[in-house]
Order: sequence, then structure tokens, then C-alpha cells
Amino acid sequence: MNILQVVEYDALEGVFPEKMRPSLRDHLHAASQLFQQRYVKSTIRLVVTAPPPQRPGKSIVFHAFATNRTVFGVIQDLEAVFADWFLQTRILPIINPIPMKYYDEPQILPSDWYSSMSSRGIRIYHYAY
Amino acid sequence: MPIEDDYQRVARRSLDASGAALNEGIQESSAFLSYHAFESTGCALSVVAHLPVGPHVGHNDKIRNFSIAAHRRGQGPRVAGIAVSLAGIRNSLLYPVHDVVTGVVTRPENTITEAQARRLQARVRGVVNWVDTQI
Repeated sequence: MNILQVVEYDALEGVFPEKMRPSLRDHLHAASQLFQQRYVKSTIRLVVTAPPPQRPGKSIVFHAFATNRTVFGVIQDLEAVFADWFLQTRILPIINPIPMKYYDEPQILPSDWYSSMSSRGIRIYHYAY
Repeated sequence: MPIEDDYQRVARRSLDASGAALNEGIQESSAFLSYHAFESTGCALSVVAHLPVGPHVGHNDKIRNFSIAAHRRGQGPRVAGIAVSLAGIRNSLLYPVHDVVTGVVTRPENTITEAQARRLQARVRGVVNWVDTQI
């Protein structure tokens, strides 16, 4: 099992948890569309999020499974697309890099993170390779 | 002296200190000082734009306000890009961070390389220079 099989929802396909606010759905769908339109380095393999369903807030954490060796390197590789999104939505994206070795072994991640991803985790971007 | 000039002075001194830290090979401190310069110059522009600044405003809110003010003046993408890059790493540059997802502890010096810190400093310096033209 990999993390893609844990995350049930897909922002690009417009599939979201039922209780999510429509405005937040639109914002996350827009993020996924931006990833389709912009060049993204192959160091970025998967971006997922599990935002609070009823409270978009001023910032949202995006988890990025990536191969870059520094935290700042991963964030740099995502800067362009998330800067566009930030300007559109005024929601500040907080990027949390996760080493690729966890991609194929999501069950070893903490149980609360795993359960939130399996119940409301949303795929924003997946590098097809 | 208007307070926006004081914020700009803080920004410039932070950039000077950022350069000194780079010369000593302490890239994480250099990057944090670049962050501080970015936040300070953002406060300078926010004062002019009548957006909230000061100790009662959170770090991310200051960055958001700066991006909004810069967007109104045609520099939105430039400032938003740096904002996105800096928003997630502030604490990583100051303390060992225990990632709640992976359990991995990252030391500040492993958050950013010297080359990345140097580029970040140059980008922030460009923004500080631009804010000078706006206040």
C-alpha cells in the first residue's frame, strides 16, 4: 500500500469530503488545476492536504512527498505554483516536505496523520512517472 | 522619522547581518535574518497601505498583509513567491524541528544550503530596494 491508496479524494477530479465548504473546494480545485498548467520539477512526487472541512482559515498545510534533500529545496520547487495560488486565494500555503521513503510506507506514519489522510486527505498533485 | 523608515532600517541592518552570517558559514542564521528583513520591509509597506503591523500581528499575517499591499502595487508575484518560500521555514531555521508526520528531527543547518541562503538574501534585498521606492 502507498499513500495514494490511502488518500481517497482528488481535487483535480472535483471529488471532496461531503462536509467541506464549497469555497474551500473551489480553492483546492484551483490549486490542482494550477499544477496541471505550470511546470513542476520531478523532485515533487505527490502533494496532499487534509484541511479542516469547515474552516478554511488564513493558511493551509500542504504535505509534499519529494526527493529534494533540503526542506528549503522542496519549498523552492513548489514556490511558483503556490505563489499563484496564494495570490488567487489569499490563503497562505504552508509546505511540509516529507521524504519519499514514506510514500510507499504510509502505515509507519503516526496514526492520527494516517487517519486524517484516510478520512479527508485530498490529492492535489501527483507526478506521473 | 516615520515608522516605515524605521522598519526599512531594521530590514537593511538584518540584511547586513545576514551577509555576515553567510561569511561565517552559518547559513541558517543568514536565512532567518533574510526572513526578518522580509517581514520588516513588509511592515514598512503595510504601514503605508494602512494594513496592521506590530507585535500583536502574527508572523504569517504580516507576510499575508505584505503580499496584499505588494499586489496592489504590481509586485504581487514577486513578493508572494518569497512569502511562500519563507512562511514554512521560520521555525526550522531557529530550532531543531521534530516533524510530527515522519518523526524526523531536522537541525536548522540542514534546512537550507549556503547557496540557497545566498540566493534568498539577494531576492530579499531586491524587495527591500523596491519598497524604498514605495514609501
